[in-house]
Amino acid sequence: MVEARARIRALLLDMFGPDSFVTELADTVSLREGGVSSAALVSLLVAMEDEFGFEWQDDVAPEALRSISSLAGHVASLPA
Amino acid sequence: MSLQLTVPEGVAPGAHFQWRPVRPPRGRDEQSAAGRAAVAAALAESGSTDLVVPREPDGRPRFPPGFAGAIAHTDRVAVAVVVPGAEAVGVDIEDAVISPRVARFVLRDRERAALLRPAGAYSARDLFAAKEAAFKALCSLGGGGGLGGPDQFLFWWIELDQTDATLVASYRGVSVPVWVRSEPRLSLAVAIRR
Amino acid sequence: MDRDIFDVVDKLFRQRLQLPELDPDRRLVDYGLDSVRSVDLIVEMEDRFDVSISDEQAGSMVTLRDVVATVTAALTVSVGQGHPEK
Repeated sequence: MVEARARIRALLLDMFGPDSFVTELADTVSLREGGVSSAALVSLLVAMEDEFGFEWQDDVAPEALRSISSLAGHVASLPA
Repeated sequence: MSLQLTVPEGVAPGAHFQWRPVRPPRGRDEQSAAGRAAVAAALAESGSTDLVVPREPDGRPRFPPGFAGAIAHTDRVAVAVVVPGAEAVGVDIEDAVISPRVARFVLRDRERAALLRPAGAYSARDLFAAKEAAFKALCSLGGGGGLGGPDQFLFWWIELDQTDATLVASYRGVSVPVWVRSEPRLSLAVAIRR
Repeated sequence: MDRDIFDVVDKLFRQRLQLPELDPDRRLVDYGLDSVRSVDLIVEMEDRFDVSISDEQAGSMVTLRDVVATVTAALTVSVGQGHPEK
């Protein structure tokens, strides 16, 4: 989980830059309210597919996409 | 320079649009300030005496009763739309580059085949904005629409269809027409359910 | 009217409105300039010229000539103020 959170944060830093709001974005804060637009969220989800080697299913629970922590939780729940 | 929006006849009668540039350094505070200024102007133009739009706990803006509206911004511009008497309103402006991969993520095969240029009339950015605008409108239906708020469904679950010249967005049988304006650098989408 | 500023503004507006030519004294709304295009152009001019254009100023710019005059005046003000933030 800790490692997945760090890797997701690294993807966000790649997208927004090393000096962006991402440095202040807490793991549990809503990405939408933290300043991640819908377009950026989808770009992050696509980047996660490459980073972690899985595909998002269409029936993913919306709460799994809420924050860095919940995204990491989803990655941890994937079958090995 | 004109601050009026050219909207085709019949698309958005009674809709009040207001735009504001986001002031440098164009951070989140400046984006929010531009959004608030646009909302206050749109509400005033609509005849509302209440010009402030607080946020719900889930982040949605709460417009005064009888003045359905929506706000959107990029890091450069903010827009607010108020439609007195409408049931639900959503708006989105997109200036992001929508990659083919992102387009595949948010658009179904059927939507890409029928709606994307050259077969259809829209860019991937237009359709992305259309789904997001429809999402805001459908979320604002809240309990009445039975779809729940932004924590209960995802904007790409919304389906787009073209009926005659009108783009219609729907989710679980609840639909809203969406008007899209495509500019070289940005797409504007407005969903109004009356 | 400052020729350099005119040339930059004229080119920018022609590009955005996708027109080969603009009459500097014709109303911009006649060329299809509505709020979507206006606000984007205002932000673009603010970036290009490093000036601030108020909503009132934006509303009073009816022709291309008005736009050039407003940008020129804004530049004069910002030079006069010596750009303390720069």
